[in-house]
Amino acid sequence: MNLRKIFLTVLVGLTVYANSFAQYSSDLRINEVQAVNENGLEDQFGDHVPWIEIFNTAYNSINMQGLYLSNDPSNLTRYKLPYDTRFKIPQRSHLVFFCDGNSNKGNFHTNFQLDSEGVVYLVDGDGITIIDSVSYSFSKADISYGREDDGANKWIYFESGTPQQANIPAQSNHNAESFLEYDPIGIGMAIIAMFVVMSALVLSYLTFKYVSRLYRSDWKKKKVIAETNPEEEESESISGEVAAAIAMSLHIYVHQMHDLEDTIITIRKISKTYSPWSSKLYMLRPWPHKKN
Amino acid sequence: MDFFEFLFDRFQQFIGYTAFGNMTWGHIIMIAIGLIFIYLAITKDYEPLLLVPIGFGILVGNIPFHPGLKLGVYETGSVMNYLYFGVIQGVYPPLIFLGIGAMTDFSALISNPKLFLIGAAAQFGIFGAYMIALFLGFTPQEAGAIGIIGGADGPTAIFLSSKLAPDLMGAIAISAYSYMALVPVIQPPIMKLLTKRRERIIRMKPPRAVSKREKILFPLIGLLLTCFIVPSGLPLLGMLFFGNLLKESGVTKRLADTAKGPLIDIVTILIGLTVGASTQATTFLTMKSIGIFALGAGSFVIATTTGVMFVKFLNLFLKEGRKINPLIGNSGVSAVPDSARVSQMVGQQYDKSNHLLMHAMGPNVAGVIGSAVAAGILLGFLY
Repeated sequence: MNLRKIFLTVLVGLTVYANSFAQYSSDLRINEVQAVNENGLEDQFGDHVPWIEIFNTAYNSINMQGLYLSNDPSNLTRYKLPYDTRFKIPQRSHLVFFCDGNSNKGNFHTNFQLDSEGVVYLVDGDGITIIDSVSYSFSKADISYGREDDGANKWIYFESGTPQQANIPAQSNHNAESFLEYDPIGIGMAIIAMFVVMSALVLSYLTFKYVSRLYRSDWKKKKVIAETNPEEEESESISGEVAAAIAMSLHIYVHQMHDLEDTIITIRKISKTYSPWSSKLYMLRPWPHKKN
Repeated sequence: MDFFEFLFDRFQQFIGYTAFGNMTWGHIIMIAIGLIFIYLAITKDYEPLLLVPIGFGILVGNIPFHPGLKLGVYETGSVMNYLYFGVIQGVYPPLIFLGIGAMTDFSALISNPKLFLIGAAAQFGIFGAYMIALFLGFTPQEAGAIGIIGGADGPTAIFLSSKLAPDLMGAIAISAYSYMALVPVIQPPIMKLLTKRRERIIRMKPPRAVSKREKILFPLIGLLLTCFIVPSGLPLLGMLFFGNLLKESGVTKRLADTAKGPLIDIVTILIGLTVGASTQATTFLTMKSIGIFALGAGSFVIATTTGVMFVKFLNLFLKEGRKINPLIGNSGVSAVPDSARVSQMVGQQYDKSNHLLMHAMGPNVAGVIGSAVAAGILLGFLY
């Protein structure tokens, strides 16, 4: 029975362990495409050729060996990725394939070429399951079509491709541009922002002014005092000198606190220093000597 | 090639790799600025905890070297570049705010909540500088990043500029810390100019005792109130109030001690050194940097002015005996605790027995909250 339990535990443990390192090709995405490349990325021979970028959305590495790339819906197994250790994509990383129809240039070159308009497929090892696909159309050279952010659902055109890098759209800040357009001297920003800052801090002021009374521990007591003598609290302001004296007294009380001197003696150190008065030798009666 | 020609050739190559071989006037100027920072910190005691790391960082960043050796702060893969990551990604400033929260006592503010308003008024320096920067031709993002110098809060300035104008971050951070160090020089003349003698000797009621429960609830309520209005201020405000809760809860003393001790010290060293090193002459010595310094001074002046003037305005509505000494108006800029010390110092010049320090700490810490809120607004509008 015990052996059976151990066996099951080990089995479950191994399954969990194996799953934690499992490679799911479904986590792969076609991330970016550039079908008309005139001045963009160069391959290892210095040629500008179409390329696609695959992104691993998972947090473990995935080996793409055995998967298929294609641009033909009637032939999804057009290019099978051969055995190559470089096809293992680390977590959250990219891998670029050159789609130039020239696979004898190396494993990263597919045997089909991308046109300015078409579809790209990433197909699982069974040759049937489409992991990801994208339709594209390029009207001019050197732009790319990619996901707005790595692995995101939305596709946008990039002014220039970002192969092997995170997809970051061209820096255009519409917020700032609109502020510049409608509020060139910044007065609108100043008014809005000061209004918001003031609102936040006025709200804080009101909260701590009124709401804080609800949780002040001495609230009831103070209320009673206020009801009996409303002027008393006003007149009871303590001067700075008195406050300083109280603070000093408290400081001395806390930091120099000791026992009451007339009732308790605190012995901090016990040592047995030599003294003839406590010497055993002197306290003993001398050994009687026999006198001849 | 004979032996001596070979040696001479190699020696020339070596010279090309030394700092002497790559030196420019810009590097010399920046090294001089770094040395001035260190001098001011050590001999004049001007913000030494910040100016020593920044000053030394300026020296480190401006030792000329042959590019490509992975040495400089802007070279990918260099050690300095790794440390600089915390600056450009805005990691360090929230951690500093955690420490500030853990070491700040908000009692003065809790006991007299109207001091919140002074902290808000002083933030006008930020937006005044923003308007001037726009007028001078800076982009809205750059103007926002420059304006935050008026908040007198180094971490906030670094955080916002790393998001809005990373190219200007070095100049903005140096400018912010420089003016924070110069608060005792900049603020007193403005305060004296804007106040009358009878206003400077106003005695304020001593702050009431604040219960522990109030102190614990302050960071919780403060977080919810401010971050619901300005969620983009969450990295700074969240950490500030979290640090304060660690301190006030009384049950996380170890965490609070770490936040206000070793953690903030480590982050201060890293942020100071890397921000200093980011001021490489090639990127720092530009006309924009000079403009940033001028605007930074302007924003400080505006912030101090609006803070003092707002107190005077507030006094119009307050009864005698409840009036606020306008000398604490300058403390709305959040150079904690320097601007509060300035209030005390100037106040003492007119009445030796009038202690304004504790009162000034109220707007001072409100200014920290206010500048973080302002940074959140600018981030929300312009990012």
